[in-house]
Amino acid sequence: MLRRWWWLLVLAIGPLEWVAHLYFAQRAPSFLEYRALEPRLRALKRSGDILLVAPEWAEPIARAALGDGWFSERDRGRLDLKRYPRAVVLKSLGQEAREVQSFRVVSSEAFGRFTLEVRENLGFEPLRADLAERISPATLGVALVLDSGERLACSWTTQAAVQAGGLAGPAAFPRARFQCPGGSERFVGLSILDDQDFRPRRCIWAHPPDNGYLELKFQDVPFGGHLFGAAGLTYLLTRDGAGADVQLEIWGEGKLLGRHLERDVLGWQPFAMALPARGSGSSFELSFRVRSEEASGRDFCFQAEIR
Amino acid sequence: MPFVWKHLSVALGLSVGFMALLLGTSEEIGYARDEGFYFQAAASYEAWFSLLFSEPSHALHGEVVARYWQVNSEHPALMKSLFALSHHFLYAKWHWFGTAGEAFRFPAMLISALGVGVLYLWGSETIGAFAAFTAALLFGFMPQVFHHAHLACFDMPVAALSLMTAYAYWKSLRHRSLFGALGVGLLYGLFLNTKHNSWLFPLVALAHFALLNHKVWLAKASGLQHSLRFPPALLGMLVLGPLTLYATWPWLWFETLPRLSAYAKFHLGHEYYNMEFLGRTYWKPPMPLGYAWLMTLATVPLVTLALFTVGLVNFARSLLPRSMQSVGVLRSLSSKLASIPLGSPTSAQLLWLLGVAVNYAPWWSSETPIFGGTKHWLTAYPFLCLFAGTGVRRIHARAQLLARSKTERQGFRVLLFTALLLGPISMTWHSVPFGLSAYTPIVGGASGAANLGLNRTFWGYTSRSLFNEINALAPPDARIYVHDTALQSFEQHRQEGGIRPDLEGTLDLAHSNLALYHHEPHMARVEYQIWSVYGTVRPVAIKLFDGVPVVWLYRRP
Repeated sequence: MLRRWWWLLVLAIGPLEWVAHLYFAQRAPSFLEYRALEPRLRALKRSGDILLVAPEWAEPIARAALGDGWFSERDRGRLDLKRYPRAVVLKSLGQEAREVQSFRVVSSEAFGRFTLEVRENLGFEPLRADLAERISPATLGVALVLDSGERLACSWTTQAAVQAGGLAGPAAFPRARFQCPGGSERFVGLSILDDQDFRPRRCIWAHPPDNGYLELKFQDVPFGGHLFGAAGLTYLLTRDGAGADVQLEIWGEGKLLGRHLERDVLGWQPFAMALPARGSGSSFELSFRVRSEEASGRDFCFQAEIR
Repeated sequence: MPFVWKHLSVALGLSVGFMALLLGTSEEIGYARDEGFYFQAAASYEAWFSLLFSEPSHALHGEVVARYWQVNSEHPALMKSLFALSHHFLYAKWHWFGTAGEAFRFPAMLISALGVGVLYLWGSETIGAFAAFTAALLFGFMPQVFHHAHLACFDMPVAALSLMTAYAYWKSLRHRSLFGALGVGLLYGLFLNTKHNSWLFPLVALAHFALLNHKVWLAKASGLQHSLRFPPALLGMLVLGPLTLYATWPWLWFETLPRLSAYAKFHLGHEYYNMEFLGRTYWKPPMPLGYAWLMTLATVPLVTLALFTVGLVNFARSLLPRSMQSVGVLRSLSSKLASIPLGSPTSAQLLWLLGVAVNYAPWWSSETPIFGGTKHWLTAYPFLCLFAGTGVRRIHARAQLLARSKTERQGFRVLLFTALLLGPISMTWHSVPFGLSAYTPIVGGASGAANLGLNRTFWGYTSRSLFNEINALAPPDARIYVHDTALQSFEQHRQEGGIRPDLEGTLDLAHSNLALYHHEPHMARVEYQIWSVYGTVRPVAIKLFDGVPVVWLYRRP
């Protein structure tokens, strides 16, 4: 039978492929369908929730359709999802948000070609401090500590020249930052770097000095809890692994709390440590020291949250 | 009408029709990144041509040649020279085209369209007019082929010239004339001066020659007397080809060997670009060995591939014995190959098979850079489609057996033609202007490809689709960050009125007012910089292809 009629099977591929093409060309939701979601999402999303999109590649459509109130640099460049009590997941095309697979489904409903899920974070850890939100002279002091022991202050400015290197250059340099001696890239301030999955990491830029170390002293850090962080350099420019290691030391109450060694080939890596449980006052000073044997081009950046 | 003229007329009709489609859709397709560089090179070569006509002795001076021809000297000059001449005569002098960009693109479109016609011609001599006609359209209506055929680049011209050279070579095997040998040599020289894919063609011709003559060599080795059927065209190609390359590329007229060496080194040691494949961005060896095969499956209409498979199986069956005992198979295959007349249709099919195999051969190596994706093996597609034509012929013959009258035969033919081409034409037409984002249903179309993590776009040509929004949203004298679009391409659009005259393209994001972003995973860091500099994560406009975001625009609040 097949030996006689095989050609009909081949011939059938043509029309079948055409029908499949028509189906797939219209399968994904349109921009206007995303825009129509807003009232329903408004009803579902509470303050503190994070909105996630599945498939992830569709997120720019949601950002364009729904606007800034729904997405932020902070959420997009997050350390992880632990600080969010709930996630509202906007699903289409049968795709899942892998990050929230462990979350409990509170509700799920169909909305046009979307499925809207609310999921509760069973591993929720209330945020006590996000150090990226504390980059200001009121809460942070920055200095270079040279091998000789000399301290060079990095001065706070809100009028620095904004820079952005494009594809092959450094990440964006913010207008507000602690500018250190040695060049425009030697500063402490907020930036967004790409990690080994090319995802955004909103982080504290802390370029090490050629001599000694860069010290960031955060004031009024609450006792107790744990410090969770991650650190790395922009992955695209350092993935060949040729750069020197960068060492991050974390100090509190005069003690070394922990070390993190950044190696280019590993990309962005997490770290965690316990903070002092109590001390003489209600809060303490938490210091970060950044150093490298070969500081040039070490556009180091780190995230740190206290929970 | 005599047989030859009839086929020539059909070939011409196909070329003219394809050309008309290209010209009709060209405006929608933005200038790709590399087009901008070639526009710039063509402008330099055009200036040299003007100098050549006005002050020939000065123009031929070594330093002057170097000054004008150094631009983009890492690529051969034929197409850029044609872009220059087209711009000079068809736009600046005779005003045939309304825009300079269209004139720049015209030569590549013309050669691509001629390629469709030549494919028909070759097919009509080997597999019949109906199958050849279908094969030519299957070639023209591959989304990637149709897209690249628009561009003032080299990828489709080199595919067309590869086909033309192979066709001329095969024709010369039939006639063995000196004129034919010279023609093949000349054509191969132009092929050499189009793109470095041409370096592979002698392997096709030599392998073809070796397979058809292997018995003679074996006999000679055994002391037997046999005459070797050495084709003069092979000699013509190997001698006249390089001479033509030299004659048509002024850059090589001085310091020939160092410059040839630099050209070869540039491509043999080309840097590795980033390319997303199955969710991972590859940027250094080892490259995935499945890349070319899966991307072919994902971007070439399945019906074309199925017909190719039928054609290939048919060809294999014609060479192999029914009984597959190892010794017998080899002996039979050897005899069959040796008995193939040099200029026969079977010889042509062997040439097609080698054309497909050799043009895909670099992808057997995990060292081959995968930048640019499918365009790097476009040269295999004409041969693949000729094999698909063989498949069409076989299915056509089967269908004809069911017909009881002439009317029924005609009806079956129309039905067959429609069934085989409906998908490719529909998919290709639908892909304009986002041809590089088009994927076939086998991977679920564009959205399925995005789910799988296949390359979304490259070359920054999609900026064109946001020009209305840019013109509407940009403040006076604004600067537009062009991201992956070459500044030369953006400027060409501005000069042609696509972009407001007061707007300026820039690569300085920090001092821009609007910013374009063309998505590839490794470029995401550019989008993050836009977020930081503009203080927003919300694009003000976004262009989707089948629901998949391809390019979007930010505005500084």
